[in-house]
Amino acid sequence: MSGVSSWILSIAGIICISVIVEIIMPEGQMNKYIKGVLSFIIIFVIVSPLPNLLNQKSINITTNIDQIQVQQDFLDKYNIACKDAIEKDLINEIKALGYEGINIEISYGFDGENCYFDKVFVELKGLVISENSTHKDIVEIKEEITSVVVKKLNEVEVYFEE
Amino acid sequence: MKRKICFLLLIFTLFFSLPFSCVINNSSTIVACADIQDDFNETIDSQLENLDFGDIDKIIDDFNQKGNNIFGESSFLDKIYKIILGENLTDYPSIWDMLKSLFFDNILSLLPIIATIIAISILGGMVGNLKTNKNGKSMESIIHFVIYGLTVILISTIIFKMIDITTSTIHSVKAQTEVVFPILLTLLTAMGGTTSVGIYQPVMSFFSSTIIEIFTSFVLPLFLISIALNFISNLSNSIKLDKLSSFVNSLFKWVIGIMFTIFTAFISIQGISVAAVDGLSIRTAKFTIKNTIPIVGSYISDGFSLIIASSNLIKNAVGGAGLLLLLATIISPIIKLVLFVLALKLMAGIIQPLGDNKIANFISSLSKNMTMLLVMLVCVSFMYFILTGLVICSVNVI
Repeated sequence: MSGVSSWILSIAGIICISVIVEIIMPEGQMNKYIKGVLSFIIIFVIVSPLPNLLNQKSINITTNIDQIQVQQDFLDKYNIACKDAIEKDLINEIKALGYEGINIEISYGFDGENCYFDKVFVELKGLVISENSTHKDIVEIKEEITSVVVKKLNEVEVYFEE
Repeated sequence: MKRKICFLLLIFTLFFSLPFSCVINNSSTIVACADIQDDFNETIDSQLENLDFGDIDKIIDDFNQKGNNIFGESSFLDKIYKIILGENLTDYPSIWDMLKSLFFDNILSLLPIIATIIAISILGGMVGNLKTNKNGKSMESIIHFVIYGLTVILISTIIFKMIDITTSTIHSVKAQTEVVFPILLTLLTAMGGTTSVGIYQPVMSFFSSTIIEIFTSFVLPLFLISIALNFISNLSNSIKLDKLSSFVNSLFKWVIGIMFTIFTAFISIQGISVAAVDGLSIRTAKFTIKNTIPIVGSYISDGFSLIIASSNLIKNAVGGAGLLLLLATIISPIIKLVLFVLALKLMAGIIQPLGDNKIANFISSLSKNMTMLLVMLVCVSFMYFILTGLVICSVNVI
């Protein structure tokens, strides 16, 4: 940038000088020769940076692009909130089947960039079967719960803790 | 140049209505059940807590000190809450008062300089006309030289102030992009719009670093060179540098035109086509069971869609608040620049019949140069506006 400013300053300077010379100069025969020489000098000053520009092998313009980053900690907290919401929804759906008091925990794994659910832990310790459902075997209850979970999030392994 | 500005301003106002209709319509589609409403407010609060708003509050404090109340609230977060709740966004009577006072203050501050320059030029013109002896020609040149020098000195003070205002506004826009864009990208990723993020992130980075860099370090010096050549070429009748000035002016127009066209065409076409893809993929993921969303596995649940819906609302609200902040940032500089350009044209019109021709030429080409500053400012804010508007209108799952 200093190169450009010096170029402009030299043009300004030479023109100011020529204007002053033109004002001061008395009428005479040398008039037109002096004007010719001055205009030649002006053209020379205007064209002077071109040889430097043409000789430069490469124009290095270094621009570093600062990436606009996604706020990762927001995404982490968001993921945890989503996981909690899905757990609550699963518990509500199983409650609709008539089984209350169970606790569900989902664990997820990373595969490169993607986050996926891999294991679901179901605690059956506080299981309370509500009155209007028929009496069922524990194995059948487990199968029902597994089918509900798998329908929602496919390809997960369901582990039961009693 | 004038037509370009009118065109730009027209598209500006047309586009302005679009994102706001998206924002305003959103809040009316929330389910009206009290439980869900409470849950919803809770999720929105918890998500807003986790977002990082950085330096924007400093910019807003600055505005409130100067009496600029287009943005209104005391903090960015308050404004976002207002938009989410669907309350009245702006307080129109006070904004009208503020605009009126901006206009009149600036006109009054420009008046002394206008009057001085007109007085000086007319005086010089009349004295120059009174040449009585054979040395009249050189007498006229000397008087013109002196008057020209005075005019240049007086106008330069205002020109430097305007350049200052423009550069600080562009830097302020850059600071705003560095806060608002990461938040928008984060919310887009959270909602699962990964194709959109893949397109918007490089364009946003390119805009906020490279384009603004080009503006401040290439286009602005072009403007300064143009003004300097303008000063020089009107010094005398025989030495003129008009064509060199017009070369620099054309370079300026072409650089801005090319950057702007490439940017807008690219981002609009890609943004529009990608928005449909992501919106569709999120909706289909609700009905089919696929593991395509890289955040969590698949789902069909109320709690989960509540979270996504709240992210959606927050994204639109952040975009809307960012646009309001942009408007508050640029309105004052634009009014000042427009008034200055009009004042210069008025001066040239008054000086031309009575004063020297060269000074009238100088002032009228100076007004053309000042429109360059205006174009730079409008260009940068328009690009920011388009990006934010596209992000608001894309990936709307509600």
